[in-house]
Amino acid sequence: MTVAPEASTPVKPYGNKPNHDGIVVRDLSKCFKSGNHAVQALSHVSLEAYSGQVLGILGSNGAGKTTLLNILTTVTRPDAGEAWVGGYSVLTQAEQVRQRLGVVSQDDRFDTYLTLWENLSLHAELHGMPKRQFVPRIERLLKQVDLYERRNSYVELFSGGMRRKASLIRALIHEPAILFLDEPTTGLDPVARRQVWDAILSLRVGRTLVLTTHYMEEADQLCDTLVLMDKGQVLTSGTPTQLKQQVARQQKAALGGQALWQCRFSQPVAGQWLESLQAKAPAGSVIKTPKEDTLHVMMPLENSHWLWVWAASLPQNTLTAIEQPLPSLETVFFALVDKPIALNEDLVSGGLV
Amino acid sequence: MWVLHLKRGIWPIFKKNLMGETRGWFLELLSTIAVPLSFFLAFGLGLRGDIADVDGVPYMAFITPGLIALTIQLEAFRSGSWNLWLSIRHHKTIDEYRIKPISMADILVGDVMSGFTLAIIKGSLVAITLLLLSPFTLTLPKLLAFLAMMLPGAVMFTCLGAVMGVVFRRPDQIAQIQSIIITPLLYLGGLFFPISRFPQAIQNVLVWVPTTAIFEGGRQAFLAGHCPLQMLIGLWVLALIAFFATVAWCEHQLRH
Repeated sequence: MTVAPEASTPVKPYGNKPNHDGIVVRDLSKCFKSGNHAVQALSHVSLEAYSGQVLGILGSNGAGKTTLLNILTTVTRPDAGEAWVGGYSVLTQAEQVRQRLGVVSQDDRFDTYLTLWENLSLHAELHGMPKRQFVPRIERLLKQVDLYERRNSYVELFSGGMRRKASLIRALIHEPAILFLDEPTTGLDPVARRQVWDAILSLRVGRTLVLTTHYMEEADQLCDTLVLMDKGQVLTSGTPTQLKQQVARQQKAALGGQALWQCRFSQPVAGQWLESLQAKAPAGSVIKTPKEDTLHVMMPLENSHWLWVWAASLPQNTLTAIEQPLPSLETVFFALVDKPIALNEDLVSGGLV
Repeated sequence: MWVLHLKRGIWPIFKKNLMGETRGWFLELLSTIAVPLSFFLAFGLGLRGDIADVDGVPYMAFITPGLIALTIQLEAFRSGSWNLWLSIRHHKTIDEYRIKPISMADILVGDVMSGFTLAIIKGSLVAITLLLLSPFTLTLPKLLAFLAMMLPGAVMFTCLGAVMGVVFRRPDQIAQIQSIIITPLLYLGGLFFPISRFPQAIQNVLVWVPTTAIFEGGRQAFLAGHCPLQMLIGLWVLALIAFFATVAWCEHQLRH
């Protein structure tokens, strides 16, 4: 698996063809015009994803995610820029691109008057697969997701979770190298969502997966690289940890010389430990217990050594970690997309801010 | 070979549309036959004694080809419009087909072809039913001549339906077009009586309407076994133009 690019690394200027078979997007722009009204859906978007990687695209409604996906799946043509999917240009080699991609759309587009088997066969035929090839493949995929017994049922009778599984199978029949998942777990119950997550994680080997989602937990769990979009532009990109560190640095600056520490214990925090910390901590320190086995301490950065002095006085094997907590991905999203909420929600929920 | 490769999407789309129509086939059959059979029973049998022969042809025989033609053209319009409308607006499967390695033209050609094929199939069912109830015998030459007149009409009405399926966002708009344009076109084209019964001014207009050629020409083919050549050529030229123009226009619309 190829290592994801650094968060702030600009996209390398390629020649006419990218040097890998994942996804390369360079300087894409798209404007939709209706009469005198024009909407800049994408503006100079650049990104890349490698084989074996799960790329998450996050953004509010209207951020440009769908337009970007439509361009990458050759449905929409960009006004400017270029994109390569699976090593082929979406502008000049659309058919080769389509051969290599599978799409799981959020609205499960099926011919509901056909059975599941008929739907899947239809899409295999549209990919030019011979019957001897697609029949055993569909059978195997259906068995994997426990839909084999329902293969002769009409899709209109399926639940949301079953339809999503069917969508996933349909996208995989022709063994695509690139898989686009557009909000794949929207509207699913927790069990079905977990099943889809497991399926996504098992699919990443040898494939490039592109995932759009509104669920931050999902992006955090599944994605190797995240791209945050807003108003048609890429705000930032990087691994989830890189993005969290980026926001943590901003928060640190916002705290004006204060440092937030998180102490995690192997058991509930005892009253006398708390009292001894309060006695040793420098003036102005704020101490909270957001969970029974966790302490949050905010104190001036230059006086932080007091925390280790106090830690040394605790019984052995009770304190498991002292760390500066990274913000959650949701906090990152709010911090970078919705500027007003720029502080770690742990600080807020812990009552420290 | 490359043509076959490029057009590989037509057959699966054609096939799935036909498969969709076989669902609930019994009700589908009844609904297809009900209207022409009602007209046949009401006018052909019920009013048999009150309506004189038309140009020497018994009225029951006169309206039979018209009712078959009516079924074919209405069905062609229905299939053409609803296949595309449902795919674009309701099931949104057109977006799924568009990301397959086939062209938009494949999808549209498959849709239009399935539309007029279904229309001919349903027209045949009506023909069988009506012929069972009438003393009329349809020979093979008559059947072939009749089909030669019906097919271009079915193509044109499927194409008209396809355009409506692309243009309109709401289903009631298609129903309105059917009431305002399609039904008058069909009913005034010589379905129940020859257009020579109309005043000359109306006849002058109707001779330029393709449905007139479909009904008048179809009746001649059905009853006498020969196609009026001028009408036949005119209909086929119009059908081919309609077919290619519809595919090109719909493709352009759906791409943008």
